[in-house]
Formats: sequence, structure tokens, C-alpha cells
Amino acid sequence: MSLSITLTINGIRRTVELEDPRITLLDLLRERLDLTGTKKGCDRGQCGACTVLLDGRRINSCLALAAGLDGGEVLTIEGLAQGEALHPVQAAFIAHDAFQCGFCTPGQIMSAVGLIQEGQAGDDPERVREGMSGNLCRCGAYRGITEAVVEAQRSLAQAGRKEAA
Amino acid sequence: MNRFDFIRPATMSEAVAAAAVPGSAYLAGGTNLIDLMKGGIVSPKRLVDVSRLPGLDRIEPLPDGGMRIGARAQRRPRL
Repeated sequence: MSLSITLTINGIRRTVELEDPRITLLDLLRERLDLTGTKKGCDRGQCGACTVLLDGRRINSCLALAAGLDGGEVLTIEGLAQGEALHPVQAAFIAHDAFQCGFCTPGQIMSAVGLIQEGQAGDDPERVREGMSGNLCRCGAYRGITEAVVEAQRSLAQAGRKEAA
Repeated sequence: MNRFDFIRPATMSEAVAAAAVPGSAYLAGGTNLIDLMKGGIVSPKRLVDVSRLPGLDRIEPLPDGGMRIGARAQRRPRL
């Protein structure tokens, strides 16, 4: 059974033939579309390394069957920067040393972008920690991660206010 | 993960009819089902994808004073 789906990935529309409905969004991105920025950690929805945004919401791409996502809009770590200009969350992760080995970082950053868009945590570190709790960091860089998300949230809110003014 | 047929019904009644076939399972967010399938704990023969069926995500008051929470209602509804 072959299934054809169309996805918009990082702003580019792509039609993909799926020869098997078992393929996850994560494997589609990494194995078929060469978008290897999204990482495979546990592959069981426990670590968050594979976090991407689907229609603006955070999902574990390892638990999403690609066959069910026809028409969806996917944003991965590769789609965040504008040319050489890093996304404010990416810049904040560097400024705050919010990683050590870096394996969980794409998922952390996508999760942070989603969290900030949801507007549910504001710049309260405790709520940021709760909102980021689906993303594990075995190096234990949580302190820097929380600081980075808080700062990125503030700078994005400020930019939003300037734009609105 | 076991092999399965993937069904994408367009309406609620199509979904119910498709899932009436023995060995079927509904697929919505997948965070539970796909995990269990990857672990070989469940192995449905067909998945009936209701993740994009309209109407299932509503939370609505009922005339008798109760409330209906759709099977696909989200913990944090989109504003």
C-alpha cells in the first residue's frame, strides 16, 4: 500500500510517497529528506530530542506517523535561522551555555520556541522548567537552558512590543 | 512495529464503521498507541486515523447542565 502525503517543511512544500505507513515523521525527516538536525534519542517519546513543531505545536516526531500528517506544516531546527542570523532562542542558548554535548539541543530549542509561542510560561523560571520538562538533558545543562529560554522569551516579547508600537 | 493498514476516514461514521473491524485501533495523537506498538505490546492490524477528524476536539456544555469533552480535546486548547 503506497500513500502519498504533502507536507510543508520549513516553508517548502514537499510531496512524499510512503511505501509503508509505519514510517514516523522523525525517520522521514532524517532518512528520506536528509534533515538530520532533528535527533533520535529514545525513539519512544520519552526524551524529547526529536521535538519539532507541527502546525505550530510541539510534538515528538518519533511518535507521529507521517501518513497521518498530510497537509501539515512542520518546522524543524533547520528552519529557524534566517540565513546567517540565528533565531533569538538559538542565540540565547549560545549566550547561556545551554548545552554540553548538544544532542538534545535541537529538541530543546524547538520545544522552547513552541513554549514561547504558547505564551504559557512567560519569564517565570519555574514555569519554564515545567513547560520544558518533556525535554531531557543527560549532561544536566538545565540551568543554562532555563536561563536561555527566559531571556529569549523576554527579547521576543520586547521585539513584539516594538513591532506593535 | 507490526505491519498494519492505515485508514483515514473523512467522517465520524466512516471512522466508526472502519474501527468495527476486529483488530482495529483508533489513532489520534499516538503518544500512547505508537509507543505500545513500538514495544510490541499491542499490534493492531489496522489503524483508523481520527487525528484530523473535525468535531472531536470540542469541549461544549450540554442542555442538561453537563459537559461533553471530545475524545481529542486538548489539555491546553489552542487560543
